[in-house]
This record gives sequence, structure tokens and C-alpha cells, in this order.
Amino acid sequence: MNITPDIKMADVIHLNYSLLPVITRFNIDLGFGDKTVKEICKDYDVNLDFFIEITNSYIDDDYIPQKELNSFPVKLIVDYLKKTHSYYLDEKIPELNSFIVELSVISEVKNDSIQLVQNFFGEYREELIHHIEREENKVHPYVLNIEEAFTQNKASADIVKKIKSYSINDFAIEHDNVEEKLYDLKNIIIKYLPPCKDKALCTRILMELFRLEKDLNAHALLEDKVLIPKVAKMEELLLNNFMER
Amino acid sequence: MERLTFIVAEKSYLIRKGIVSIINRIEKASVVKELENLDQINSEILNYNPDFLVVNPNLIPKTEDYRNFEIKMNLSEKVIAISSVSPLRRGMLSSFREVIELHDSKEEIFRKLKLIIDPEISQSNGSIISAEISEREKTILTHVAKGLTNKEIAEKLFLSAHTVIAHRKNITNKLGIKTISGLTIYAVLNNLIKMEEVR
Repeated sequence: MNITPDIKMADVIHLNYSLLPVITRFNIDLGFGDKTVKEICKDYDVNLDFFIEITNSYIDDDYIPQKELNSFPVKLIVDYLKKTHSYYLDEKIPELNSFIVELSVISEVKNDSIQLVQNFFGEYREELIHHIEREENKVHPYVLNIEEAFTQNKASADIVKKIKSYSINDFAIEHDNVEEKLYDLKNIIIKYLPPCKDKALCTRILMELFRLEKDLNAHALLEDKVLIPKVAKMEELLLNNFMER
Repeated sequence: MERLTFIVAEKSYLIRKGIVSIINRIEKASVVKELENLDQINSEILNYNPDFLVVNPNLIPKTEDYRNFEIKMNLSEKVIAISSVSPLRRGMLSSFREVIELHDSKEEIFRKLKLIIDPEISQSNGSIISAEISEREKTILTHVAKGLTNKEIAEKLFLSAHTVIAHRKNITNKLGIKTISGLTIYAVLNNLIKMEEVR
């Protein structure tokens, strides 16, 4: 069932608990009472249409957007992406890290395979941090810049120079795949690691890896299918605009 | 095996969604476009370049002979018919690669589609190609884990860089591990290299 403005927010969570971290990203607190999605969004000053599109596409791969996601301002999309980043860096990665540290604590003898997994996860964490930093320090300011120039219809020489030195397509090409190591880590634990003493701990690690992967995929989809094409279109119009003058 | 793409053209919403849901449940197969009629069929074929087209022949305009209605795909190889055609036109079904009948069970449709997608696998009763890595692949994996580049491995083993890349692709497919660090862990866990050799 699709999420619509008039269903109760509590029911949204009952139907799809995987949306809990998404709701947090919109700064929405629990304790909804019987308020509807629309009312809650109003209370928290959240763009209702954006909320509807983000949550529906998060839970349903076949969801057909009611409003084109690319009709939303870049700023709204970037803010959401940033919130997602801090969810990864401040919550998920430390959580997974503590699980993996726990893995080595429970094996009394020095265990090479656990050590390897720990190093591997460390590498993954570094990669993800680097990826996120680049987006926040370079890509996000750039796309906001483009949007500003576009809405003010100011195709200045400065902005044209920026587009020519680093366009969103360069970002799309560089947009490295941070999911690869995550995929490997899952397979190493599922297929190759000697059975772990603490079964519950291994299960928890895997569940978290699967959840993180799902979230990262939704995140990448928003970047690749919405943000990049939208900004590319604005760049094109700005360049044309500049040529005509 | 690469991902296989389908376009499904069928006016009935119920039938179309049913076919689409079955195709999407087949490993490596997915529907890239659904159509209600054949107005745009040729441009959509150009657009999506699908591997197969599933079509209801009734969508072909009655006034035209189906032989003259040109679909830019090879009917007998790439096009599967959904059979809800009137008895008068049933003769045309023989020109399609396969025919899905409306009364087919889920298993029958699965079988028909799978046979088309991968005739070899279906005939050999679904036996899967060995996932074990070969001795040659083990050697290459060992060098990868030690941190050698493709070029260095090629020189060491007197192979072309191209061959090394092909081997690495196979290793990744068989093990389900994509990154060098991941492959290194596999190599250590399977005693192909020692912990101390890991750079």
C-alpha cells in the first residue's frame, strides 16, 4: 500500500518499520498519536510531497512517483542526502564497528581471520568517509551554486567556468561504488569465515550490513536518478543561455 | 550470464501485470518497459534494446496482415506471444518463438520462459556450472592477494594482460568477491597465502 497524506503516521510505521531511520532524517519524533502524515509534516515543517515521494520509493521499488522527484529544489534533496550521510557516519558505522570489535573480544586466542575482517571493515569505513567528505565539500556546494545561478537566471562567466572545470557529469563518472566492499564483507561472513562462536552477534552484523546496503542503494538512486540529471539539465540551460548573449 | 531485458506489450492490465511479475521473478530477467499498445513499439525497441518482446498479437491492427506489420525484432527468435487471439487468427501464432496461453499455470510459464532465456541450462536439468575456482585461477588469486597488478601477473605467468583480466572476472563471479582486499581475505582463509604476506 502506498503512503498517502491522509493515512496515520503511526500506521505508516506499523506497515514499514524500515522507514524509522528515514523519518528520523526528517527530524520527526515518535509519539505521533493519531496524526496523519500531512499533519505531522506540517508540525515539523517538512515538505509533504517530498516526504511522500521519498518514503514510497524507499519501501517500494516499483513505486510510480506522483510528483516528479526532480521537480523538488536541489537544496531539499541535498539536505536530505546530508542527513543520510550523518546517519551512516554517526550511527551505522560506529554501531557496526563496535559489533566487529566485539567479535575479536570473544575469540580468546589471537584470531587471524577476525583480524582480517576488522582491517577490511576499517578500509571500508575510510572509503565511505572519504566518499561522503568529497560529496559534502565539493559536490553539494557546486550543485547549490548551479541552482542559485539557474533560479536567478544568471549565466555569469564565473559559473560557466565552474561548469567547464567540473561538471556534474564528472561527478557521475567519479561516483565510485562504495557498495562493493560492503557486498564482499557480507559474502565473506556468509560464505567463507569459519563459524563464529557468538551466533547472535554474527546474525546482528549481517542484518545491519543488509540494512545498510538497502539504505545506501536508495541513497545512490536519489543521486544518480534525480540529482545528477536535474543538475545536468540546469548546466545545459545555463551554458546555452551564456552562449546566446 | 548478463541481465536479460523484456518489453511486455499487452492491453489488459491484469494479464500484463501477471506476466511482468513472473518475468521479474526469473533470475537475471527484468521487464524494462510495459506498453498498452503497439503505437510506439519500434521506437521503444530502439530505446531499450530489449532481449525479448512479449506481445499480444491482438494488438496488431486487424486491418493489416500481421506479416506486413513490422516489428523491428525477429519474431521467431525474440518475440513471445500472449495467446488470447480469436480462433481465426490462431494460425499466426506459429511464427512466434513461443506462445504463452492464458490458461498456463505458473510453472508452465516459468518453464517456457526459462527455456527461451537459457536453453542449455534448462535442458541439463538446471545443473549449474562449477563454482570451484581452478588451479590456474588459484595461482592468479594468490598473486592478486599479494598485491601484484594485472600487468605484473601477466609477466610472471607469461600470459597476456587480457587473459589475466578474464581470469579475474571469473574469480570474482565464482567467489562473489569484488575487491582486492576481499580477495585477499579469501586467500588467507583458504591458506593460499600467509597472513604475513599480506601487504
